[in-house]
Amino acid sequence: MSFLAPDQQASAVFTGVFALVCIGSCVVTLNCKLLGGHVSFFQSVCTLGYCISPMAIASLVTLLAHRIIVTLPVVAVAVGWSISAAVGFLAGAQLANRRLLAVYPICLFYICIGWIIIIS
Amino acid sequence: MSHAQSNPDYNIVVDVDDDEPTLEFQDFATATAQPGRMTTGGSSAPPPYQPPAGAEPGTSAHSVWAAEYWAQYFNVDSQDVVQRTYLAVVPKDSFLDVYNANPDLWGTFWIPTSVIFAMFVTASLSQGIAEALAGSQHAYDFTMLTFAVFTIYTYVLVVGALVYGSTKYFGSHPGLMECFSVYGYGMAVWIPVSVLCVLPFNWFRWAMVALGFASSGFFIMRSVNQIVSRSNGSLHKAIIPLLLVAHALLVVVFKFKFFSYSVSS
Repeated sequence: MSFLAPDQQASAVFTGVFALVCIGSCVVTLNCKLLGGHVSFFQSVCTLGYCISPMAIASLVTLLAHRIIVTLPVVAVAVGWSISAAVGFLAGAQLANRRLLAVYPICLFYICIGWIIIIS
Repeated sequence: MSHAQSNPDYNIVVDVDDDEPTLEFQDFATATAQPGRMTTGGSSAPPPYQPPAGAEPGTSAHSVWAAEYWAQYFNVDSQDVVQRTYLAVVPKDSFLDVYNANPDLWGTFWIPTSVIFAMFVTASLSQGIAEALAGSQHAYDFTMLTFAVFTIYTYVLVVGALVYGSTKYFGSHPGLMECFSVYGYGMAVWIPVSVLCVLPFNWFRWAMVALGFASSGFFIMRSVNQIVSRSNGSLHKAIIPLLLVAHALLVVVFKFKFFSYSVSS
């Protein structure tokens, strides 16, 4: 992605994405824990990291094929895949009436990353 | 003082002195001022513990630095958050009455965060569309995201803290979480407004922005009015117009930074 950004923004883009992924995973996990979910902090951060792997594949595809007609469905599928994987993991966290409150930040996180992949 | 017996037949460690009163089991459930003496006939169950009315939920046993302290502010269900967000967007009933029964920080944090994201996405989308229509190459502007993050978080935190500080100074007994929540939840209307502002008609964008300002401005004014009127209210006249001006400034910044026709670079 840094290759495709305007030169003066290349390092800013890299920093931004790195910060987004790191801080985003921590914040989403913290949210789940504070809502009373029975997850371990590092386990959840680790799982969110693994669930980004479909996005990595999608961004590779985006790098190779610059047409929006290809990248949009690929990224959409990757986002859906990541979200369903992460939500499946959350099923063990036992949040009764608060599933939406825990799932929504995860969706926001992956859609944000997907969007950055699309616009690059 | 008696010492421990060294008699091997006994394992007594402590001797009971005979001049101390013998200990007896006391029934504290029915005890009155004089222990051991029952002046009333029947015994009734002790009244359940009543916390003092209006006690701040912040009097938890944990310190501010422990996660358990903050977990008390996330004790809401999905439905509660949806209801509170609705009350913020359509300010018909009082938000603060519902909020103060169970203060939460979920909405206060995640709604501004969603607004940041929504504005970034829709702004870069509308820029992309405009530049594609004009035929020029689209280069996305990452700085818009950092600008959005800075503006929105600063607005919610700084103006919320100012409201808290000034109302506390004039004796209105505000809650800090309450003030932040008014501004946090008050951002909610900008999510649908930013989605609608993708449509490239400037008059339409102005109309949507005006609607958003009306909704969020009225909500903030009404909630702050409710906080301010807990005191003798001479502060009414000063603070609410100032807040409205600050909010108008924010809306103007939104309009020109995020909801404008993009100028191709």
